[in-house]
Amino acid sequence: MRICVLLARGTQTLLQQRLFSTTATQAVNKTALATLRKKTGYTFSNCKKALDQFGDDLASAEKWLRDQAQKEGWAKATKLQDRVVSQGLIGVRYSPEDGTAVLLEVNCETDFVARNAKFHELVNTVAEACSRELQLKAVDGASYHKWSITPELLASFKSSHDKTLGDLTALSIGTLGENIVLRRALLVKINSKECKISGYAHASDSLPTSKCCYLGRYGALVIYRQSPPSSKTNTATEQVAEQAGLLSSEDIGRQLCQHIVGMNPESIGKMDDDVPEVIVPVRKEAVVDTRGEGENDEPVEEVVPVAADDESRLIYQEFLTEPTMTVRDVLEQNNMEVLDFVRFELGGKTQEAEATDSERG
Amino acid sequence: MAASLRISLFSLEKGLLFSRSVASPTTSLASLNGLRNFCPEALRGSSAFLRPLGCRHYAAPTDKKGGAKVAAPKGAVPEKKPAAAEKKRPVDTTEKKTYSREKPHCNVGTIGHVDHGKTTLTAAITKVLSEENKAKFSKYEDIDNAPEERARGITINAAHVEYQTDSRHYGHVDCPGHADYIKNMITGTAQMDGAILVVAATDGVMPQTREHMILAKQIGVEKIVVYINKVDAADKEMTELVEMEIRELMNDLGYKGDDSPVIHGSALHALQGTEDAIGKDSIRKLLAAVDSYVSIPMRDLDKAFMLPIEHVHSIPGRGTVCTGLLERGVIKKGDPCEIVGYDKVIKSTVTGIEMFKQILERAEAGDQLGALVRGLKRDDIRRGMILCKPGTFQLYDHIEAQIYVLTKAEGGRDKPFTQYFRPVMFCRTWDCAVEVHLPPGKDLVMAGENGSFRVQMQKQMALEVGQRFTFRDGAHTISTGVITKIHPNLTDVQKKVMDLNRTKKLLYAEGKLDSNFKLIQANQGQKAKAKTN
Repeated sequence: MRICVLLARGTQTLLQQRLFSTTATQAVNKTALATLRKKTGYTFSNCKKALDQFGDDLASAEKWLRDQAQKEGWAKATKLQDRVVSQGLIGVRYSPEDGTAVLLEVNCETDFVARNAKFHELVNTVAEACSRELQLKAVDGASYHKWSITPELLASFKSSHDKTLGDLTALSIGTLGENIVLRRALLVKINSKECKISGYAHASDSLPTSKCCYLGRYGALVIYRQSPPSSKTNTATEQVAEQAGLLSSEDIGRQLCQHIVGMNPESIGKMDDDVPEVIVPVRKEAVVDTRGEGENDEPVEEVVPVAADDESRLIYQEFLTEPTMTVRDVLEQNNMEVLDFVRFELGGKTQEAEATDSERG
Repeated sequence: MAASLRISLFSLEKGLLFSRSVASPTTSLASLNGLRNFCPEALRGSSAFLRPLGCRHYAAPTDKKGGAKVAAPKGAVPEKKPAAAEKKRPVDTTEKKTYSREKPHCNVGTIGHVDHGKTTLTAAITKVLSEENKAKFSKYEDIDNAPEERARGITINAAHVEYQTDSRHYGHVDCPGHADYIKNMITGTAQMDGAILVVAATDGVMPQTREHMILAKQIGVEKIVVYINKVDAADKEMTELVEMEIRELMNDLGYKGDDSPVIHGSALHALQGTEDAIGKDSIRKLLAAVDSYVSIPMRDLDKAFMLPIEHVHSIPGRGTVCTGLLERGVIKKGDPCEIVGYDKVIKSTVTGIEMFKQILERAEAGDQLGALVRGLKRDDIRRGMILCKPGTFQLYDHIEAQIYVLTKAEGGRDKPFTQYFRPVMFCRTWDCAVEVHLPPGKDLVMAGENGSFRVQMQKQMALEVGQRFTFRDGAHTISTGVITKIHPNLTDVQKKVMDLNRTKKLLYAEGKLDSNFKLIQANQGQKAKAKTN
């Protein structure tokens, strides 16, 4: 065992071995095998096959392995294609500057793989490839466009290394030994003069996030419009504006996305829909007392719209980060209007209805 | 006397209730596990009542005049009798196979890549042991299609198998994913004492093997035994290299890679009964390694005594008695004790122990008893405190806990929870309002997720690492958790901040409030400006 560890130190040792000793080829093979495995990370069986073919010519063996990997990957992908993929990651990549956003899902078999850096890398690459596809697309005068991408189309996108995403997936299947599926992707491009976009990915554990791609089990994008603050200010809005002033518009966009991930609304809801109203005692003090003067702790009865627990319209739900307000209140206070939102949940239903380009202005 | 009878009756009721609930004919490890620390001596030592624990017994009728025991015919349905009468019937007739407690119990689990043969290995183990009558052979398909287990209302995806070696009884789990193992760890169902890592010699260590070992670390597994599978498809050199790689990775992740046993074999051959050298024999070697390398956790009986107090009674002429189920250790008359909980630590002495109306010299873990404590008034003690050996428990109110949030289907709620969420924490016999602090960078926790959170409590309680609890919010049990670390107790400032409302807390966290919890000056200046405008 000791000897073997020593031998595994690298090709240098290998050369020494060959120069200074005439031990059986077996030992040489073993060193070569260790070196090759360490360098390429391919399975021992494949490394062995390569060595059988090229003897001690490590360079050729390595080249052969790399060429072989693609083929092997595809073979493995075909072999594993029927296995259930219920785990994986949602990737969110958005850029407010370019007005582009990508929401995608890549599946694998176990969450162990979903936690592996190699898998994260794959999702990042897919997101990046989607972003580059988006650069070529035009908005055509509308406020924003959404494109739902089928798995087949997604697999044909090219990554920066000029390989298709399908090839890359096959390669990952080869290395990770689990079935991996590019399940769905949604690309959004906005006219950044008219509206804004924000995104959020929610992960149970802290996952490494690269600069612009967020990974998690849930993801959401929200497209919203923000008009400049109106001139008329009454005391109520002033107070709230101050409170809200603590948050930038990006923060609110992010919080909206969090809300969408957390509360899972089905529709946006119209501003003039019926709101359930209930009389409840409200503590004036509930809002932070910015003045620091005469605190009035007496409960005052007020008619307050109350969000039902099963409310599925976004704007009538109670706001996740501030349960005393509804989403509608928050939007009104910030002069915002939600134009559209998308929510992806790992293993969730694909929206076949949105398979065709949807367009709204 | 009347008072003491009351206690006895109460205890009796509790005892019955308890035994009834656990004596259900379940072979699931969930219940065995919870009881594994009740050793046979403890059961023999205590009353006949606690005998039904862990296995299914039916009481047989006894001669009224006492002593002469008549065994009921096998399978006879026992008559329903008042609790007091039932107590006097210690003879049991078993209907189902009795779980033997002769060997210490230990839980192990398999981890590894999906294709490396975890299930085949599990099947092979049962096959080999079934030949010696130490296990029931479980076919590959049976293990692979194990139904979802339900324990404590939480769905757990795991296959359970039991078997025994010459020296131990094993529960063997195999969960499909990371989240499943973590859930197991949190809820305490099939906690793993050791793990068997399965790696195929043909593939070697997979990229995700690292994640497997990180997980094992996370759920507190300290000993890993490695089984290198499929050695028939690889040659000797390859197998040795695989072994080297694993040891290296184990050392990397803080395991004793050089000392861990590594067994080479082929689970498939063992299952098919061919090539005994790498088949059957490798399984035997593996089990021997698990026997010797994986250590068994300390039994509750060997620990310092601890009794969560359920009720406090004041008995005229005698004093104050606290009742409850002795969770661990042995209490003797005259033992000094401490009563810990609700911000208080009270020193006292146990001056008497009673169980079922009778005086006891010593009580053991598993006994439902009443303990008379010296010099204390009834109002000094309350339900939720614990009676323990002095110095073994301290008061804490600030902990780190690994928490699993129940989904709606599991009885939880649909809504996620956010920063400063305030549930009520239930643990042993107490409950207390707490505040949950999410780790930085996290804003919400969805149902079905788990994570590590900081928990601040309103009251200081007797806490220890490994203690399990649940969070409830009104009508729902929201989550379940386990204490992983104790933080230094809360400072006065932290306590004051806990009393603030949520908005203020958020502002305080961002450093926008001064020490009196008012918005700091800069903002007020701006506001004044806005007013003049």
